Amino acid sequence: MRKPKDSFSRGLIRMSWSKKNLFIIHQRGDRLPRSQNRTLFQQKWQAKKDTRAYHGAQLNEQQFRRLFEPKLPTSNIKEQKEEQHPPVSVLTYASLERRLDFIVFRSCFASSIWAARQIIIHGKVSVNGKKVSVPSKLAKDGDIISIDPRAVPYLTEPMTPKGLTFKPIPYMQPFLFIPEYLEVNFNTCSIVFLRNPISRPGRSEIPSPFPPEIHSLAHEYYAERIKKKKSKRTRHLIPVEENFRID
Amino acid sequence: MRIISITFARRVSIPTSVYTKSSILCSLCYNHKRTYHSTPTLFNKDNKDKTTTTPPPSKEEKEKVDDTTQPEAPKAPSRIRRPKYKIWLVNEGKNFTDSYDRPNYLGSNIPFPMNPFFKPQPPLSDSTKEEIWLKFTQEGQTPRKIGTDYGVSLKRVEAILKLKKLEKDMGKKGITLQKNLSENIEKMLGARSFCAEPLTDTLPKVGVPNFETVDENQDFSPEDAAKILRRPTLAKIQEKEHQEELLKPFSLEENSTKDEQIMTLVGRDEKETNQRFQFKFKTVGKEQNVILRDRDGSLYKIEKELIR
Repeated sequence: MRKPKDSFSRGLIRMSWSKKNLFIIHQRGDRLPRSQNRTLFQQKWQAKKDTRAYHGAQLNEQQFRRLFEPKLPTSNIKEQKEEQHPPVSVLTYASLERRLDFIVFRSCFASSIWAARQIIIHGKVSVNGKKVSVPSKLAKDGDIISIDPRAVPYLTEPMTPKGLTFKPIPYMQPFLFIPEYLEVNFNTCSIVFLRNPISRPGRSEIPSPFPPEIHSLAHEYYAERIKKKKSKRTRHLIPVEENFRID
Repeated sequence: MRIISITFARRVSIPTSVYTKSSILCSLCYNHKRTYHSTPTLFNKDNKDKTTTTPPPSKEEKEKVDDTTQPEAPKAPSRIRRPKYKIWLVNEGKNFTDSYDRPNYLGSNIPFPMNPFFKPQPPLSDSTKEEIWLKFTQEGQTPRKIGTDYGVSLKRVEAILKLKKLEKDMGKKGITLQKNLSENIEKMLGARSFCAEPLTDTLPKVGVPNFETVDENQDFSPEDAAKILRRPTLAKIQEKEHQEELLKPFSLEENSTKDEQIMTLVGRDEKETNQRFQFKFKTVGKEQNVILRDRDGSLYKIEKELIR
């Protein structure tokens, strides 16, 4: 029988607010997976296992391969006064963040990625006014995603003039953050997907429990096995002007 | 306040707890829960029991429960599963269940201890977004000015304005806004009245390095570089952007690229009702006529009104 998602013996960190998951993150602390006496393949495999358990745990390997982009964006920073960007491998899983279930989870409207999937499948989510019940739908830059307030887990029934009653879920606080590529309006439970996640001086925009070194190894694992050009399906998501935009 | 004493021997002794039969049943119900986003009462009931009574049943309690169902059987002292987890939940984990008025991450200001590169940036508070809305609608400031004042990127300003418009529209329709949610969650997110973002943020797509041999004496200007890279020059790009912002300023009216469609009711046939389909008839050629037969049998004539 398969072990549960938040199994302590496996020790995998998931996209979930459950207290078991929180404890697993606490237990793993700041210790990196061991690299001593490990072959390169073993290190890459461990990195892939850990990162994929968080990024896209609800996806099959086949589904993930369709979204994965082997070419990472490169950046040239001429000025030395600016703090160095983290290694570009932090953007390994950037293409996943456009998915509707990821957006719903990242904006703190679902307690786990599977819950986010369910909310979408049950039809509580609409994109630009139209109901979308496909969790794999990719958002365009500027899309407005709206969620039915009754589907939010920490909003319960006694309806007041100020909306539904707020009842916080225990142990949800450590997971409350909103990434910079989303703009959320809590009054209407709506989100705008701004742009692709990018890296910043000294920090990464994609919330991930793993440091860039682990992402590098995972990226190498997949890049060796997936060789494809930038897919057509994602080209239409970014407006044409962005290709040449300079501040 | 319950103090838990642990003797680090083979068997761990636990103080008595009130883990009654009803709460065991509750936890069983919770395991069979199918939807994540409904039945919050079940979830709350379960948590009420769990937060007050985390340690597992002690020997005596378990025996009492067994007595009611089965005749007496000799029981070995029960092994406590996952003691570290249960102890942590009650001691340090308590921090994450009590106070809900400021951000509370696992690390000091980083949510994942293994990844110090992810530092979540607090969002803008709702009051600031109202200010931005008023500045745009009443004072008529451009998104660029608002962005420079508040340190917000252009895309975010536009997003804030679009969402605020949606909010105002919903308010007008009479839909209650979730003020409880926004007030409480902004406390937990640590919302601020400013952002620290650049106005535009894209990484330039730099590919394989391009080497070009040039004579020692020759000058190499940005225009030559643009020619070799086959891109427009920086000056041209900036000019184009400037022009675009002047000609097509950001506005909240929905500018659909599709032309307006005017539907006029022409006739109605009760016999031609259909539950599933709408039928559209289009003539091909110079004079385009479009007729629509709706599901309830009504016949419409569609005319396009050209915007441009």
